[in-house]
Amino acid sequence: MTSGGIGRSVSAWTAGVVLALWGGSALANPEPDQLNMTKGAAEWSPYGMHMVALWVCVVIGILVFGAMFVAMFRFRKSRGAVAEKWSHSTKLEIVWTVVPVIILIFLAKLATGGLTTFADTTGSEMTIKVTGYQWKWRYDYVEYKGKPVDRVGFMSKLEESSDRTRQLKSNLDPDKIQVDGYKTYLLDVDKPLVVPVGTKIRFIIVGGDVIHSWWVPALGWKMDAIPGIANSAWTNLKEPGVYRGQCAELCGQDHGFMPIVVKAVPKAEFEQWLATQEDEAKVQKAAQTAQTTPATAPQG
Amino acid sequence: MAHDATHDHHDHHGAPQGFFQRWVMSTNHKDIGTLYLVFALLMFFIGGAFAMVIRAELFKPGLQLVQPYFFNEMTTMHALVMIFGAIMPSFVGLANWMIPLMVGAPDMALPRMNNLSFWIMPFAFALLLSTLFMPGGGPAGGWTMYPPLSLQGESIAYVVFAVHLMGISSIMGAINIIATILNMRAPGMDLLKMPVFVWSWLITAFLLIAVMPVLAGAVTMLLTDKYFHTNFFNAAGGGDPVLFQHIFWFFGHPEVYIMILPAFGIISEIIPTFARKPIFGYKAMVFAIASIAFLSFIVWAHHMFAVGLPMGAEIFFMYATMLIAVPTGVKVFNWVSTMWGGSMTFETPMLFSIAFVILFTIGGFSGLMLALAPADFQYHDTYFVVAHFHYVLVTGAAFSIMAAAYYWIPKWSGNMYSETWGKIHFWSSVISVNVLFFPQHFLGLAGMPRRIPDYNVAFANFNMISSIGGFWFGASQLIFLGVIVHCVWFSKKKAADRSWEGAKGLEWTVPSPAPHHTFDVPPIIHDDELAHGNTDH
Amino acid sequence: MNAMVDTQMDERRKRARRTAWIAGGVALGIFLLSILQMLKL
Repeated sequence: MTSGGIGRSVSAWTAGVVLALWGGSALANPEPDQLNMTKGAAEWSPYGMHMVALWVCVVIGILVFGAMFVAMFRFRKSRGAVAEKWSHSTKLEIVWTVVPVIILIFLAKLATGGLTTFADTTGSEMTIKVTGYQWKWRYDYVEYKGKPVDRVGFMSKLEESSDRTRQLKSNLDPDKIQVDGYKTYLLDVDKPLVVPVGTKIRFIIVGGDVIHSWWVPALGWKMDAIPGIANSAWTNLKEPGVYRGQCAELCGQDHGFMPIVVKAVPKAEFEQWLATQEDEAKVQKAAQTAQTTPATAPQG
Repeated sequence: MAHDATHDHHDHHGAPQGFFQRWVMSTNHKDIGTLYLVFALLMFFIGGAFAMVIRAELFKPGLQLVQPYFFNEMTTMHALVMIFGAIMPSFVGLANWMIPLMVGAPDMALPRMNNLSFWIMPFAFALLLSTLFMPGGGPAGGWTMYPPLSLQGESIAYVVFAVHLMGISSIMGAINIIATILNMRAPGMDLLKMPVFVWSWLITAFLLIAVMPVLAGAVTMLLTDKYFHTNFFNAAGGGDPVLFQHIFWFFGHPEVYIMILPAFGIISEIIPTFARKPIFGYKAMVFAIASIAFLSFIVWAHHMFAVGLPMGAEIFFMYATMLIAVPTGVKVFNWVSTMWGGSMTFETPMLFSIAFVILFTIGGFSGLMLALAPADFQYHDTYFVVAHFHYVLVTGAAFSIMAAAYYWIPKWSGNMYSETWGKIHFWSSVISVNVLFFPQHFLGLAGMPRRIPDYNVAFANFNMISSIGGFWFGASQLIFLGVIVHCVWFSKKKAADRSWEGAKGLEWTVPSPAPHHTFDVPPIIHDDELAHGNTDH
Repeated sequence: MNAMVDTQMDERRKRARRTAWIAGGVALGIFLLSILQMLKL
C-alpha cells in the first residue's frame, strides 16, 4: 500500500500528534498529520487571532457542555429526579446575553486590527502581477525598488512527475515524488515564483478566464483572482525558504492541479536572478521580433 | 373536483381508496406531508450516494475511481440534492404534517396548491439528475454556480430551470404555511401560545418568500448571459462576476437559516418533552429566532471575504456576523436550562436532540472563528469550512429531522418504532459522523483546499479516517430506513395517543395514527394542555 | 353548531387566500426588483 497504509499511519500518528501540537505549526508547508494552522513565514499572520478565537471557543464549550453533562447526570428520571416548574429567569438571561457581547467586542477589536494592517498595501518595495488561468498561474514582475522590470514574466504549472502520477489509474506512487526530503506531490511547479526576503511585496491578482484564488498558507492569506478586477494584497517574508500553496477557488476540472510555489531568497540573490531574467528576456525579444508573445498583452 | 368538494364539507369518510387518487391527487396535509418526507428520504440516499463517490475517491492520494470533472459533478450535485432535495423538503413535510395539528386547523389553508408544490419537486429533480446522463455531463461548477465557471457547463439551462421549479415549489409551500399559521389557528390559539416549531416555520416561511425570488433572479441572469448575450456577469462585456456572488449570497445566507431555524423549532419541542419541564424562556426563544432571521439579511458578504471587498465592507459584515453568536448562544443556553432541573429520559428523539445541541454548537464555534475576517483569509475555501457547514447541516439540520421522525412517527403510523434499533442507529450515526467530519478541521487548517479530487500525501491519513467515517455514517442510515419500514408496516407495539409521557400540545390530543381528517371542528384550547400555555412570563 | 363552524371556517379560508395573494405578490415583486435593479432601469 501507499501512504495510506493503516499500519504505518498508526505508528506515525503518535509522533504526528506530538509534532503537530508542539512545533508542527511552526512549519510552513503541510506536514503529515498536522492539526493546526501554520504560524506562517510572513510578517502578517492570522495565527494569533486564530488561536485566541480557538481558546475562547474551547473555554465556552467546556462550560456549556459541562453544564449539559451535569444536568444529564443529575436530573435523570431513573435517579428519581422530579421535574421542577420554573421556566425563566430574567437575571440569567441578561447575563448570557451581555457576557457574549463583551467577549465579541474583544474579538472584534483584535480582528479589526488584523484587517487594518492586512489592507494597508502602501510602502511596498516591489510589485508582482499574478494571473490565474485554467489551470496554471502567470507571474509578471512589474517593478522592483521603484524601477520598472523589463519583461520578466512566466507561466508556472504543475511539474511533470506529479502530472503523470495524478492521471486516473496511473498506478504511480505519489509518495515517491520528493524534493529535499519533502513529499511534493501536487505541490510543486515547473517554475516557482522567486521573491526576495525582508521586502514588502505588493501582489496584483487578476483572473484570466474564470475565478481562481491565490493561496499560500505560509503567507497567511488567500485572494481571489477575478476576471476584470485587480485585487491587491501584500506580504513580507521573514526567512528564505520554499512556500507551497494551491488554487483555492473551484475553477474547473483541474482545479486541484494548479499549485503555487513561492521561493524566497536573500535580496542579493534575488537581484542577481532578476538581472539574469531581464537579460534572457532581451535575448528572446531580439530573437523573435516577428513573433508576438502573449506575455505582455494586458490580461483581464 | 367533486371529490375535493366533498372533502371541504363534512363528509367524514377516510382516505380515498385508489393509490392514484390517494397520493397523486391528494389535498390532505397528512398525505402530502408523507409524500414530502418520503421524497426527502429518497433524495437523502441519492445525495448520500454522491457523497460516497466523493469519499471513495478521497480515500487515498492519487486518482483511483473517477475523472476530476466527474468528481466536480459529484460535489455540485451532492450539495444541490442534499440542500434542495433532502433538507428543505423534509422540513416542509414536517410542517405539512404537524402545523395544522399543532394549531388546531383542519388542513393547510390552500390544499390544492399544497398538492402542486409537492408534485413540482419530482419533476425538478428529474430535470436536475437527468443531466448526469447527458453527453456534456451534469453541472460541475459547484452548487454556488459562480460565473464565469458555471457558464462553461453545457447543463446550465437544466440547472437553472430545475432551480426555478424548486424555487416556485418552496415559495408556494411558504405561502401556504404563512396563510395557515396566520388564519387557520383554532380560536384561543394565540400567536404567543403556538409551539416554537410553528413559530420557527412562520419566520422561515418569510425568509423563503424574501430570498427564493432573488435566487430565481440570479440564475435567470446566468441563463441570459449564457444564451442571450447579456453581460450581467461577463467582465469582457462590462459586467461583474462578483455581482453574482453578492446576489447569490443575499439568497444564500438566509437559505442557510432556512435550513436551521425549523431545526431549532424541533429541538425546542423535543427537549421539554423528555425533560418533562417547560421550555426555558419561551419568548426569548421566539425572539432569538426572529433576530437570527433579521441578521441573516445583513451578513451575506462573509462568504466573500477573499474576493477583495473594501475594508469598510469587510468590517461591517464581520461585526454583523459575530452578532449572530448572541441569539444563537441564547438558544443553546436556554436548551441547557430546560434540561436543568428536569426529569430526563433518553429515548432516541432525545438522544438526537442532545447530540444536536452539542454538535451544532461545535459548528457554531467554527462559524464564529470563520466570522473573523483576517482568520478567514486562511480558513476560506478549505476543509475547515467543509467541516463547519457539515457540523451545522448534518449534525444540525439532518439530526433534527431524524429526531423529529422518531418523535412523531408514533403519531404518523400509530406504531412505536423499535427503541433498541433506534438507539443503535443513533450511536452508530453520532460516532461515525464525528469520525467523518472532525478530522476535516485539521485538514483545512493544515492547508487542504475544498472541492479537490486529489491531494498531497501530507493529507492522506486524515482523509482516510474521514472516508472510513463517511462509509460508516452512510451505512448507518440504512438502519434508519430499516427502523422506519419496521415501524410503519411490521411493528406490533401500538402507540398511545399521547405517545410520550411528557408530551404536550394539540397534536397529542388526536388519536394515533392521526385520522385522515382532524380538527374539522376547532378544538377548545386548554392552556395546560399546551407546551407553552402560560404566557405570563 | 356545524353550520356556524362552517361559516367561520369559510371566513378564515377567505382571509387565508388573501394572505396568500399578498405573499405571492411580494415574492413576484422581489423577483422583478432583483432583475430590474441589475438592469439599472
